Amino acid sequence: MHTLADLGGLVALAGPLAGAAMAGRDTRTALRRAARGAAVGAVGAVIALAGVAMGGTARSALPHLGGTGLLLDHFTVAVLVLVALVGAVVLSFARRYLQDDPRGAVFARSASIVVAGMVLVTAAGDIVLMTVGWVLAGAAFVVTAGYRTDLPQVAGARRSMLRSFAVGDLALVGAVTVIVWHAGDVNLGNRLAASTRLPGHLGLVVAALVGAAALSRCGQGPFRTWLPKTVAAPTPASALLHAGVVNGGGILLLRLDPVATSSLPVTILLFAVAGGSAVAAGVAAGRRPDAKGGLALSTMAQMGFMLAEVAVGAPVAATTHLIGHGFYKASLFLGSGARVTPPVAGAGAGVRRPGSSLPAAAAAVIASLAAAATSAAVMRWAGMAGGSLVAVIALFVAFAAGAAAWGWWEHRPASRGANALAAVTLLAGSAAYGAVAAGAAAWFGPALPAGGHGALAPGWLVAVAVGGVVLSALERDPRLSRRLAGAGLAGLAPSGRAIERPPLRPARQPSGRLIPGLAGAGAPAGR
Amino acid sequence: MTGPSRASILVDLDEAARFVPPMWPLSTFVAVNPLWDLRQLGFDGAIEAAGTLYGADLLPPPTPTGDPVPPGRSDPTPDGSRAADRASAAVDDVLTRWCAAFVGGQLGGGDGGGFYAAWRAGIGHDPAARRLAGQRGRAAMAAAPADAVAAIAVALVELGVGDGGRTPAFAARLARTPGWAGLAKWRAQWAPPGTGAPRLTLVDLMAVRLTVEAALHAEGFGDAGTLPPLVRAPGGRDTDRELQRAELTACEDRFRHWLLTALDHPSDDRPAGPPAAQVVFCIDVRSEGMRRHLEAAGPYETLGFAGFFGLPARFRPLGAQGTVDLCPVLVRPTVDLIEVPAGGEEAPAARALGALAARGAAAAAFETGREHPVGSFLLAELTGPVLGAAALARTVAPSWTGRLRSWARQRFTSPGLTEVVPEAGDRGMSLDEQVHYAASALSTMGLVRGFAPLVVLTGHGATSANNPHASALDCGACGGNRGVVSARAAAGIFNRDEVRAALAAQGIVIPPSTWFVAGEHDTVTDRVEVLDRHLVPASHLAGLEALERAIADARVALVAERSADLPGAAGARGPDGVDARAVDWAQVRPEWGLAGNAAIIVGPRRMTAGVTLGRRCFLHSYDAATDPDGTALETILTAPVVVAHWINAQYYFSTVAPELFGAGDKTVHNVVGGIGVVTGTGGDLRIGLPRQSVFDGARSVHEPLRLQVVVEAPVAMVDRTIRRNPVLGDLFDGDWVHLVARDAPGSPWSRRLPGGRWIVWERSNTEEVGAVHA
Amino acid sequence: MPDHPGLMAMTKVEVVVEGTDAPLVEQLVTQAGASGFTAVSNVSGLGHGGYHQGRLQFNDRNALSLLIVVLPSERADDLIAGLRHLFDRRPGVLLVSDVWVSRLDYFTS
Repeated sequence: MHTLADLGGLVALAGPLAGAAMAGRDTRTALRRAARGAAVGAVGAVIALAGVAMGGTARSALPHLGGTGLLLDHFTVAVLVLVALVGAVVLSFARRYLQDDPRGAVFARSASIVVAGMVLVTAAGDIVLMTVGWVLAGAAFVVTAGYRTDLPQVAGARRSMLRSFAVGDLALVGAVTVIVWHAGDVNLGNRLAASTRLPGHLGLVVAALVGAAALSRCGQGPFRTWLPKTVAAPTPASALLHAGVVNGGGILLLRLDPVATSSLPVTILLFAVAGGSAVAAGVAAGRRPDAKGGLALSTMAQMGFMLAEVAVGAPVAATTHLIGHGFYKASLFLGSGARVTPPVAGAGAGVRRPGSSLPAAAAAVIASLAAAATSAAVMRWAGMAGGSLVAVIALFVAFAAGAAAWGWWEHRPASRGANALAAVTLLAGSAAYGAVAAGAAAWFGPALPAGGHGALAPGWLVAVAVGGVVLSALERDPRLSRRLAGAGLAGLAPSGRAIERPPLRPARQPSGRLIPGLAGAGAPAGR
Repeated sequence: MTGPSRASILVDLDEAARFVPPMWPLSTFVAVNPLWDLRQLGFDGAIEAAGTLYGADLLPPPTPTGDPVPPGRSDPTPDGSRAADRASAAVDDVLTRWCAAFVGGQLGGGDGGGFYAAWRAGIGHDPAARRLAGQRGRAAMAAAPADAVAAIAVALVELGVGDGGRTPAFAARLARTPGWAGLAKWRAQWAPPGTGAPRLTLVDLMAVRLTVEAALHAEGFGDAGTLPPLVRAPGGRDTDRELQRAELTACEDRFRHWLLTALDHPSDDRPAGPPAAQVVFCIDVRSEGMRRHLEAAGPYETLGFAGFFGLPARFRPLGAQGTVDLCPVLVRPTVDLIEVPAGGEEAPAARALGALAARGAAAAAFETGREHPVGSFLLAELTGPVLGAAALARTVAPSWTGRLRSWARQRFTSPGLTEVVPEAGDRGMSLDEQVHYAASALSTMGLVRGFAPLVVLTGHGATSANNPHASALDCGACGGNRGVVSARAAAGIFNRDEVRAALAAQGIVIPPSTWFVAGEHDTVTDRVEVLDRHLVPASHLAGLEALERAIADARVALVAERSADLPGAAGARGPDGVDARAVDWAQVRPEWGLAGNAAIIVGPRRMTAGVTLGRRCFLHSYDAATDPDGTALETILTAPVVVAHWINAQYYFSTVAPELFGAGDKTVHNVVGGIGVVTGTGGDLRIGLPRQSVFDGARSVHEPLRLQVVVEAPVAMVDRTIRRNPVLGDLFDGDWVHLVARDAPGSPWSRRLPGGRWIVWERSNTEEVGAVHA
Repeated sequence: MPDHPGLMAMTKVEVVVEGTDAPLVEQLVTQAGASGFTAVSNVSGLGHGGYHQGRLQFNDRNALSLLIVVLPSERADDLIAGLRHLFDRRPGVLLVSDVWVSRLDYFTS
């Protein structure tokens, strides 16, 4: 039955695929066609959203593919809009940005396939189709980030990505094989829980494999090397990655939710790795001197936070985080060229006021309490369930508001009106966020189960907050800060080229050619 | 201390640094001849020396210009197969990462400040250093002497570099990271005193590098005593070079032929009567197009003068805390300018400043939240949809978004009517100083009589979005800033009654009916905006409006001419049209800038009026009749011509060596510390112009050749001026630029050969006339 | 050798260099431990290379500079060695003389 949502979903898939197919070899034509394809896909996604909003969940069937098709419920269609819009913006951006790229047609094709793959991951109706999309998106992304073979660092990035993605893809394929063997090709959606009750040890294995796949796609823990290296690729590739591809890990866990969080040991491990990432990468991101490197590490932290939210059984919060962060990071990456310090600190630069930071700290505390209270109140008033979840969300709102208030206070304008307006904006923003959170719970709630047997409690997220505070406080110690500087420079952050330990034998003497024009240049003294 | 004298080490380091181009921070990009400090060797000698050191081919490729540069011709191919290469690459890696961290402010001040001190304090904990040199090697690095010069001396001993080998050793090392070395050199030799952090110095850079190498050497790894160059000279045989030199000379001869032939046929349809307005543009090549079309659109006369209008100023914008220098980098500012609200406009200015302060506070709030490890999580969720909507709007509808932003800027943060005036007190300009300035500016231009009712001083700038190299498109004469401020200040001085009275006493009579106005030419959109309208007397408004209409007509023609070369711009109204390019954050090439520049013509406008020069020539107004003692000529030759040479050389080297002296592909640039870009994840800071500024895909749009200087002045005076100034001797005798001169219109052109001999330029019938503009 | 009771003997070093080399000489002088120096820019003169004129209107860098520094004799040796090394390859003039100064604290750091 073809409803508006069906149509929108199919267009969302067909648009980018058509863009890839018709791209051709010439860079400028290919980019133009890919951009158009992605734009059509985005329109389709919005139509699907409208369709679902009006008509409820839709399940479409792709003809000739044996009944497989797309599932468009409240959750999948919202993420679909994110993926499709990001794809459209990135490809439209790339149309001007990569106009000189000798191999820009490769980017056009592979980026379109990435979008199509992510559409499948997001909206596939059954588990096998989702896996196909997953592998497709990963492979296409390796091409998207790795096609510039003329750049020195890209080869290393590609190798790193292939290693991590291969492990993750194998893990996912393994998990899906087990599920299919146990329960057949399972339709996704609410019926997943019922049909896939796996026996204990099998459930643990499947949960671990799925968790590994998610961690690999999100660049967490043992898979942390590839994500910062992707900065070697052109800006649109990075934007697509950080807003479109890394989401895949979170989407996977959310769609396989009761299965993914069915085993407590696995969930604890997942929480530990993701939460650790969120803390460590968050602190390390501030230690990067380059704009894109800082953004990449920030994505690692944010994805860790999102996965931690899934692990603690807060899927709605994870979804809002996924969507919000996607738009946030795409915008920041695309605009990363503007981070040049102007020659003179103009009137609008917000010069920091001298003096002790005690008043700023006080302002931050007041603001954080007010914001937390406001958002919590709105959430409760809007009927959001789960007292501990509301409290945890309010805690993180407090941190965000407090940090922003600190920054505002140190650079505050003289006008009382402006400061009052800022305070009002803060409260209004917190209230709005509370409303959004509650609204999201209402909108996504039915589509997302509350979490499997192994899920932790939302209160565990406080550990992430505590970890972040402790680590940034420790960082103030100069000795530890130097240690972190060393690690931040080389541990989490990639180097410009691979460092190999040179061999022990002395190297051949290069010919002692005189450098004309250098006074006193005799034969170079050496061994 | 025993061993080499400290001062000798510093001298050798400075000598080695001659091979390194100075690199200005990105916000004030200055086009510079990368081999300026080797100019005494002459063009051929400098190319040879730098080519050997860097292992690069610095002559244009031996194929007809316009064809693609064969890959690998002058681009580096890091060869990883040799052990010494791996060692040096590893050391490069350590050095560049720490440089980036220092410049980005991540290392704090260190013990006593300075890069070496900060590095020494932290290297003991660097995991990458331990992987490279082992635990013992890393400890040895951290135990190096505290004084940087002493550390250099110790390391040189360990590496076995004797006194005679110091300079080549330093040069080979600096050449491995010309970007960071260039930043350090700028700091030491060009930065104004009082420039803030970070203080990256050549001494510290070399100390870090040598200490690492010495530690590796002590551990037995690799021979780092003499380093191979970072880039390879891809099989450059000497016969090839002869051919390339011959082709370069032939190319320049062709251009000279075309130019001098064109100059022999200036248009005769100058306006019969006195001009309705005189418009003074910067000498920038982009002004040539606007001048040509404006003169065709009405009874207007145009002149060319350096874009800072002869006023070396330090400017404090309204409400700002700091100042910016608005003059060529060869000059130190002597005047302080400040922007103040016009009479009675204090309230709107205060409101605007308040709005700006609020905007700054909001930005600071966002940045603080973004950087906080815990606060950033929900901040991303909160601001995501807003930023996403803005990103969507900016990408699919850049013109509309740009208009919206301009409207908001006008409505909220525009300070209303302001004026730019010299500061009060002795840092400003006394009346005598203002008179002296006005007299010299007018005499240098040759505008000492025949003033039109309106004289418009038009500075220039370029608007672009999301462009780290935006400053490269701004006015070089203003130190990489926009020229509007200098125009406003100069116009103010010329309009003062006391100044005019004193000028009249000196023989320069500006009639009371003449009014000076300031304007700015945006070279991306080709719009000319007239500023400080409120200062224009009512009697001149009609003339001003007529001029603006003519400028609008000229703009239409000029945009059509330029759009033919801009990829995608021809006939486009969407994101590819010129207006959208100024605000489109995805546009990687807002305009071609000075690509194609080839000559500077010093002389009166009648020399070039009506001649289509294809926006390839700098034009400086000069009238020998008003300059009997040659002071104006000397001023022009020793400053604007040098600046033009620097721009020409910057474009030349960015075209023939785009990965060495150019910044490479813009799409993978990554801003570091707010002052420079690296490629991708890290490595050396990039210098010069990005590929997109000089190449269209694989085709080079800029024709790499040396600047042709054309002067209409008594040849004997020109010769004398050159002999009196060593810098001109370096330029002309070193074959860095070519020079032709003629005494008067109709005289034969004389060409000055290196060494000082003048020959008459013959127009040969067999020379073909090359294309005007690629 | 004349002697001036009550005054301290020190070494005075005067250097005439191209304007572009002035920052280097200032660095050498500071590194040598001099507590201060005097710099005069835009000087003119007649030398081996011909006449060098003084001030150019828009070019502060290509005229000559004169630097004068007074420092204790033991610190002067290193500086003089470096300056001689410099003038092996760059044009310039180096003058070294003995001076006697009264305010010792001005010249020692």
